[in-house]
Amino acid sequence: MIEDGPGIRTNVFLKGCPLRCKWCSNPFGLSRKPQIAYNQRKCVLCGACVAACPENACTIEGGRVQTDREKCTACGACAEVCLTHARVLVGEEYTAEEVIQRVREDSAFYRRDGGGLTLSGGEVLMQPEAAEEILRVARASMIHTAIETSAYASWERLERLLPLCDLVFVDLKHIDPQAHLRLTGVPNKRILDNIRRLWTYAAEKGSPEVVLRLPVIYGLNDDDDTMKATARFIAGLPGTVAVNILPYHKLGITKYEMIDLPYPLDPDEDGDPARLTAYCDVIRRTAPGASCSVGGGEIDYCRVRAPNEEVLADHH
Amino acid sequence: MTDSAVKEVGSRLGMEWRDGKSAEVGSTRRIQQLNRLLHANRPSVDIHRTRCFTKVFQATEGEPYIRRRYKACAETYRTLEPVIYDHEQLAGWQGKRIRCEQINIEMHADWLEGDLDQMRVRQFDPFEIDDADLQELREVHIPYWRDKTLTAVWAKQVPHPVKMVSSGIADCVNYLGSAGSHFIPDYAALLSTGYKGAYDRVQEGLANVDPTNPADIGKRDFHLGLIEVLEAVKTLAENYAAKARELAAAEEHPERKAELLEMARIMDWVPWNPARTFREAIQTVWLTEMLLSIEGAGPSLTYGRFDQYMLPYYEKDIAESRLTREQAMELIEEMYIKTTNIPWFQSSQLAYYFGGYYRFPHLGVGGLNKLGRDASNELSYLCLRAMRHVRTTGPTVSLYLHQKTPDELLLEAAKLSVEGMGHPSYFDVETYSRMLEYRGAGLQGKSPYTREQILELGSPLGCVEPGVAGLQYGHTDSGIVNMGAVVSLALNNGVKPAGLPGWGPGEQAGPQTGDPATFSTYEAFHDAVLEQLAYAIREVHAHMIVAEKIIAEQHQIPLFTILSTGCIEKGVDVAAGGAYCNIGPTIQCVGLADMANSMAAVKKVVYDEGSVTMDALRKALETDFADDEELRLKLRNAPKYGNNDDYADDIAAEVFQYFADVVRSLRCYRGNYADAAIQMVQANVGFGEMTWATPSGRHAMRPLADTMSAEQQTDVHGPTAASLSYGKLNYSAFTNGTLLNMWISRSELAKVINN
Repeated sequence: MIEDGPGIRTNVFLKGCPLRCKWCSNPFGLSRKPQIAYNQRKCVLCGACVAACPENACTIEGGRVQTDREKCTACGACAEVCLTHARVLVGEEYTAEEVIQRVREDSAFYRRDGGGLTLSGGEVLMQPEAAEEILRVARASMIHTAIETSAYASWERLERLLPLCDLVFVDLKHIDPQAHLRLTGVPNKRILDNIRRLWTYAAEKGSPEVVLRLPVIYGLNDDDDTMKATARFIAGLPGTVAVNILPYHKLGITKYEMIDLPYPLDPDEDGDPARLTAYCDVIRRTAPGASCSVGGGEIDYCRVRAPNEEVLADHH
Repeated sequence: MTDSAVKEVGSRLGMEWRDGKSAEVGSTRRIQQLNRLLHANRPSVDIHRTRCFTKVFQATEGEPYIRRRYKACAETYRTLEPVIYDHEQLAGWQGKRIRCEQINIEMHADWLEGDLDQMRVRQFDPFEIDDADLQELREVHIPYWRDKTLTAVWAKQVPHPVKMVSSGIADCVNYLGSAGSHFIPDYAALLSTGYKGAYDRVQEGLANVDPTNPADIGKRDFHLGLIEVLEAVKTLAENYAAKARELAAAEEHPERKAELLEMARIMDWVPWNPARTFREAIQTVWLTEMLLSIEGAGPSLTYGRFDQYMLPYYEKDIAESRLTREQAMELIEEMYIKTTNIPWFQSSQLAYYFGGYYRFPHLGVGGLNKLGRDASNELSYLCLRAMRHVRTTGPTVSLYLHQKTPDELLLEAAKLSVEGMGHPSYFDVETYSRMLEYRGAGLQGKSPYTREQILELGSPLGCVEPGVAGLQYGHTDSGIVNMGAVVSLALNNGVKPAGLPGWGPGEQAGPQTGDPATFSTYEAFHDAVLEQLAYAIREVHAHMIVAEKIIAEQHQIPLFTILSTGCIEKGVDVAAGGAYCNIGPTIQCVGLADMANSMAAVKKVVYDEGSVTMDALRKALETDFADDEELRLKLRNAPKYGNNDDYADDIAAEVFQYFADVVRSLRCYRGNYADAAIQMVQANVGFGEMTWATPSGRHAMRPLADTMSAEQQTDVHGPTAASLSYGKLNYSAFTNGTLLNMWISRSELAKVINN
């Protein structure tokens, strides 16, 4: 159970990510460029794509359509003629206004249960101007806004978005710099700094709401030492820290196959649910101020009301 | 798992179901045992009612129908055998067995003769029947009744009787087999006076009959007949009281003995007298529901706003410590079990459309009171929760939603939804109130209902049809028009495609709207479809109003009349038009999405893109796409209703409105106008089997789309986009109700609720 924020939401995935996490569940978000994805299960081998491709990048070999990724320009001609939708274009260009139009379609649903827009990815901070414009218009339309980010960018870039967000999810993939580099391809200093600044910012301004997410990947970041070190880091953050432990899942495996990428982890391995609750226990012991949940389902989204608001509420 | 292991598990589960063990659920042991008893029995038929009807009708040959009908009903109730099982608190079984239905022989004799041998094994809704009863039906009752049934009499008066029951295009088989149906009694009034109150009013009416006034001809029969029926109801209760005493005398267990004596005391008092307690009130309600189901042949005998009319009794008992919440819940659960116990006995043709034995009883909670305030109360919660305990199919429990519905009540309802049983249904009070405001009133008028009547007594009945307790009578799922078949007609110049079952394959079934190859624009095709649609609607209506007249003259229903406001005072049976507001026969559509998607696909592929000719399309359809899967996929990829895409949704909204407008312009025999609906439950499967390949890319004889929902597997943008499409239709124009099914992953819903 993964949550993208409260209520019914429209999730906009921005393409492109500076990290290469080995467990990434959405490899469509890695490259900034549009890509052709191919689902062999839907393919009837009619050959329409082979005929339509202007670059001659498609061939039928071994009972499937092979795509020469060097030649493919992701023009979308094959997807257009594919009657079974086995070939689809992943990644389309929208103006911020076009995005917000789509988001507005579901306004009626947001009103009922506090849902809204979530910008996700990829990495939101790879397209900071677009993200800022979308969030600004959403805010002006009274739509609840959330972003999901790795915080791997300059603080200024992240800070510009914060006044436009009601809710920010930040991932912490690994507390150890070396391990972080090994598992995600980038060091974590900037991320840890940004997380500290983000929590300070949120505590001072009273907004946005911030949730720290810890993806737990069997054998890679769920050893006792990592748990303790992470918990100590959390204890050092200001304010009440909402921590959300994300269990490892393999729902993205098919997507790797669809864009001809190898799955970086052993596809037969599963996470151990016992480690998730163990993690929770360590955090609760070490950082008593933190509220910790497994999965996204139990996050308490209720805003902390200012004392005078509470008094008013009692009178009404 | 190996094949043999699968079979072993399967047969074990089957055996458990057969003896009802799996159904042993409920909030108390009593309920668990009763639930087990219910599910351990297969549906069967009883011929007690049939015998009474034959006996009375043979003895009264040549007398007025109303006298004969009332006498036959009275005879049925007076001599109904009282049956009491262990664990029971509520008295009343409609037949000699559990899940046993009385045959309304005056509806069914014509088709029954041919199907009698198949009754125990027919494909849909088989019924058990005793050998002796079978023989008696064959030798005594069917020969007497076969040319006197509604269908038999009607068939002699209309031009196309066979077409109207089996063409698969437009159909009124439900109307012909279900007189006595679709009704919400005014339970609040009944509880406050008991049947005795009605008896006093009938006596008064009798005293006021003026034999010198031509308008009063027949009124004496009316009043004398009702007196006999009311006395029969009283006798039935007395018989139950006596039976309970008899069982109590033989009972050794002191606790059960006391329960039986309590049942006897209650049956001494109700339903004849005003109810004084919750227990007496629920006993009155149950016995009435049961009697209506014996008297009428049709479905949708509705409890209505149970949490409103039962509340005073509940509150008083709780305040005076006569009743606990748990005891109230137990009684409600028992009523649910008893309600499920009544199957629907339908003709084989009708079972093909509506199979599943379900008789569409309906009980609702929530809504507004007549001042427009939230009407929910503790009973609303109990009724929803009782269904989570008892898990029966009946009654349909529903929540009437509005802006002031408390979140807690919505959550309680959602918790029931998570159980995955299809309970509860959700209704928007504002929408059905608007439907009621214009119900039966045609395109220009307004219904006779006041705002207060709608708010206080209005509720859905049956599956989804808006009704008002005690004030409305009429059949509300009468005619069915298959929109998928109508598209086929427009593509075949009005000829029903060969290769289809039922009446008339290869015959001219609709008007000659022209060879589609000559349709040079989309508008020409569009107009042909609408012309075929209007013809199908008018044709079935023309056939139904004849049946309506026969029902009014020959199928009087005394208990429905007694429980309808004002009928006694008017001296007019409710079937003959005595109700405050007469409704129906109505016309429903099936295959809305199939029509919209077919039109959208033709518009897109043939006219907008021009990538396929009309001729190629017709050839592909003729062979059911045997040689042209590519064309079928192309049609499949055209815009589809249910994805928040105006291209298809606008067409759906247009044909939806057009259907309603044509239906609502038609006048019925009792003076009201017809109402449109879309609520044909699982009829999309049976009608699908009678529908050829459609330009939506649907194969021949596959199911049509369900009610108003998007076509199967075509709403690919999630429930919010689908909901936005559904929101584009003008619901209020469907003054006989709309039904939308949405299937949501149980785990998703559970997640939301557990938060």
